[in-house]
Amino acid sequence: MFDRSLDQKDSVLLSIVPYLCSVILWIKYDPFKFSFQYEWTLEIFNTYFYFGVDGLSLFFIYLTTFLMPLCQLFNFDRTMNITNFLSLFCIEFLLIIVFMTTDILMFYIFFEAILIPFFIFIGVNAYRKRKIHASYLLFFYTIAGSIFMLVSILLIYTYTGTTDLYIMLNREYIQDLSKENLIWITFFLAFAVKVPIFPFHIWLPEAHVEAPTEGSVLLAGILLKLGTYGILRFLIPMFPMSTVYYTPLVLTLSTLGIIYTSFVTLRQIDVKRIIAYSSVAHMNLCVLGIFSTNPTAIAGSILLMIGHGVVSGGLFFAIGVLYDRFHTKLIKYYSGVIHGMPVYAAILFVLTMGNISLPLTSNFIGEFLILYGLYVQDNIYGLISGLVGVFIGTLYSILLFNKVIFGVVRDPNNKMIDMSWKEINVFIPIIIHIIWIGIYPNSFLDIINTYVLLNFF
Amino acid sequence: MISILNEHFLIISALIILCFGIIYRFATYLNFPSISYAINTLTILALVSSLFIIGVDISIMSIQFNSIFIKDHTTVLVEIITILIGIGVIATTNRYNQKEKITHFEYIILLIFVLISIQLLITTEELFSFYLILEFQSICFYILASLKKNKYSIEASIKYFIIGSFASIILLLGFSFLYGVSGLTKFEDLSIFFMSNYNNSDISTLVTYGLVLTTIGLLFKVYMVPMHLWVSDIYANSPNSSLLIFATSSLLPFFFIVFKIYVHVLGEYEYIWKYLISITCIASIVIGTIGAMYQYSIKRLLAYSSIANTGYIFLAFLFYDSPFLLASGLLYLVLYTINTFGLISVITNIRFRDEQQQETTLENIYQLQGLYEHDNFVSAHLLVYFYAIAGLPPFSFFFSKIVVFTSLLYKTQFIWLIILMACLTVISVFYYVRIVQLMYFNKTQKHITVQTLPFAVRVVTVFIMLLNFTFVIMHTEITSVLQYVSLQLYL
Repeated sequence: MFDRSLDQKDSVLLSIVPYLCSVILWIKYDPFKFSFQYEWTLEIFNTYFYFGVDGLSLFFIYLTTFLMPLCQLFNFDRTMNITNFLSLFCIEFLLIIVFMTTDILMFYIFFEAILIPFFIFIGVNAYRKRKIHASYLLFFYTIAGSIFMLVSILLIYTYTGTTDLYIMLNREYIQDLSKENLIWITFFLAFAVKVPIFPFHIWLPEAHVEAPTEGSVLLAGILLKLGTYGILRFLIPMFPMSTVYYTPLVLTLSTLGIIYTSFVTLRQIDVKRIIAYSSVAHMNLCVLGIFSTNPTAIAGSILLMIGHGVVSGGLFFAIGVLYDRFHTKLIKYYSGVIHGMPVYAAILFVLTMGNISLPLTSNFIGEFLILYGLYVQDNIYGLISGLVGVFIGTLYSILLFNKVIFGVVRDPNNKMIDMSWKEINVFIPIIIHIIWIGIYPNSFLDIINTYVLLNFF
Repeated sequence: MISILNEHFLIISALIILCFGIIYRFATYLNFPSISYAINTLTILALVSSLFIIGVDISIMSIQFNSIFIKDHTTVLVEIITILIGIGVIATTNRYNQKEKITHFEYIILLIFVLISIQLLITTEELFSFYLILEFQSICFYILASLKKNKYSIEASIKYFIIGSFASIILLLGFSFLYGVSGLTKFEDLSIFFMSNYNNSDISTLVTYGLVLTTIGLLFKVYMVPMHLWVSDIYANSPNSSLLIFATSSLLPFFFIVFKIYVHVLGEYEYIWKYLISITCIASIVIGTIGAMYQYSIKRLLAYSSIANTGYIFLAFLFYDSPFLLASGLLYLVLYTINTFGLISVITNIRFRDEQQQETTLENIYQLQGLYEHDNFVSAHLLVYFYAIAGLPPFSFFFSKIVVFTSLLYKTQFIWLIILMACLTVISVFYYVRIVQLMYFNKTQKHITVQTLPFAVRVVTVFIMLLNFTFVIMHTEITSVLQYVSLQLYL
């Protein structure tokens, strides 16, 4: 079927092509135009598919196409597996469709369809018995969460006769607030599982620990953003009344989530689990910002999503590098890595600073804007929990860095080989992006501001 | 007369192929030659030419034999689908039959008889011709179930025979009530009779008896709950090539004819059969879904999944008053038939060979462990079929499920049913995903090799898989055809 001699080099080159396209998309994007751009209707056999890009989806498409070449580059030395190749490109293709579509049923279809290649990808590449448990959790949390969203989409379809987002936004179709609330809950469940908001987060650390490095990068970098993307794209614009009604609930859940997961992270012994729980905390902060009803905070959340996608992707790559050398993820076996791998230590330092949102890094801007917005809205509990999250985030990130990098070398016989140029090349673009967003966020915020002000206020 | 030329042609060609088989299979001067290749070629030729014959009169609506058989576009669609299924069966079961020593040419003859009976069954407009043709079809199925000639296969056949004849007799009793009340057998006359005597309480009582007995008999024939207990034995023990015939071909005409009987003839008594059918449908969905969870034999799993899916299909009877909602049931039926055909034809042709060169077919799902390492092609196809039948997007079966959901949503009293069905869908995803997990996650235990699929099976499965993927794009084409068909069911 396929030529088996296809090389990993080819797949790197192939994955750079969509990246270049998305860069061109960004360059040609007009931030002053108040609607979807590049609207594109695909008509095949009397079926219409509506696609479009706006200020929100532009950056997620960029993030997707940015992380995918790095995933391929990370595996540069390994022999290529055709199943991995296909499933990674399937994931990329489906993600781009999900971020571009303006039809809610299409969104649901491709939102669910991503699970299939991802399930296969974890199953083929992971190695422990626990992977079955982890991938089942991933699969069934998502399916069980989103099946009722499907029922709600169909219910909306019976009212409006369409699933197109444009028409639904411009029409009042649900007069009954109690019915709207019910539909809101089903949508929220589907997205809350993906984010993941506090009580639905169990699947994420499991999936992260069992997934291979690229899987973790994609999971933390993009798949988690599907939840917040769905909230911003569908949940808030389509059901504004219910959103106001349920805002206290969401704020409570996300503040609980921030504090709970931050404290849980302190007690973890697995490196990947630490990063996974810290992503839960960061994403909950995003949700807090989104529901704070403040334009600055919403813009900050979108920026934090992008920044977190880059930073957590980088951290998972860094752990992947470590795992390739030592074959363990348990933190207690690591000590004194700096003596053998100084370059690695420097890179991990920059990434850790990104994770604790030091000024001049990407996460700082996002978190600052969210906290500013919460302060403006007098949301004192949200502000306090956000600050606690940021503070404990510093603690666990520094603790992780300290335990892994410093200390004495436990086993002198174990030769530590520093990163090769191929591996360093994975991190250079990530670090560039972290510092770029940290120093000059306006290149992102210009577009995000227009989007937020147009769509929410 | 030209419009039933097709049936005549198929009967004559079946007899010619039978004569050819009898003469040459037992020819002593040729040392009993193997003629399966010749028979297969002849049959495919006959079926393809019958497709052409259908194509000649595709636009004619005709009434035959004193209006016992009526042909219209609906019947033509079903005929085309069944003949395509017949060609597919011959193409995909050839190697299985040879390896399992089912070399009787009667297999092919019975297949043609089944196709003929289907074509007559959907055109019939009379109670007793319906009964006789149904018996004709059932006898073909009984013999097909026993073709493997081991004790399990014969047990399955006898079970099928006894239960099938029992069901037929109950069905006949129900029909005789209807006949005894009215003295009529044609659908059109009966419907006029029931319409005019609707208020007569004596007649209603007798018709109620007849209706309940008819329903019981029909539930046996389509194996819905509570008459489903025998079906997993028959699925599991009959040869795969026969299973392919009666799992895919029987449901499609049956739906149409049962729809005609219930909605056209007994439309006045819908307050009785609506509850009977909806309760059995919901029970089938629940029991079929939950029953499949503990099945480790792949054919028993298919049996339970077919019980559940039959429940979904017959839910379309709840939409009898709207042709556009009925089209959702038809879509489900057609896509279920196509996907089941692909799935069973792949399962039939998977053959494992162990170290002692012993060949085994696929029986238990644990035989699929690590299939991905042996044969990427087969595992990818099984993945698509299992995900499709589980109803996951973006495959075709997902759309059939959401159109059923949407149709139920238009009738607001069924919202609890949709919630139940959504929960059951999540449960059913579990055991389909378990098979995918076995194929992709687990390592093989023993040293086995998997034989590659035959070329014809590859063509068929690739075609069905492409349909699964591209259904997102071309669903309006198929649904518009089905909406036309369902409109015509009302005329």
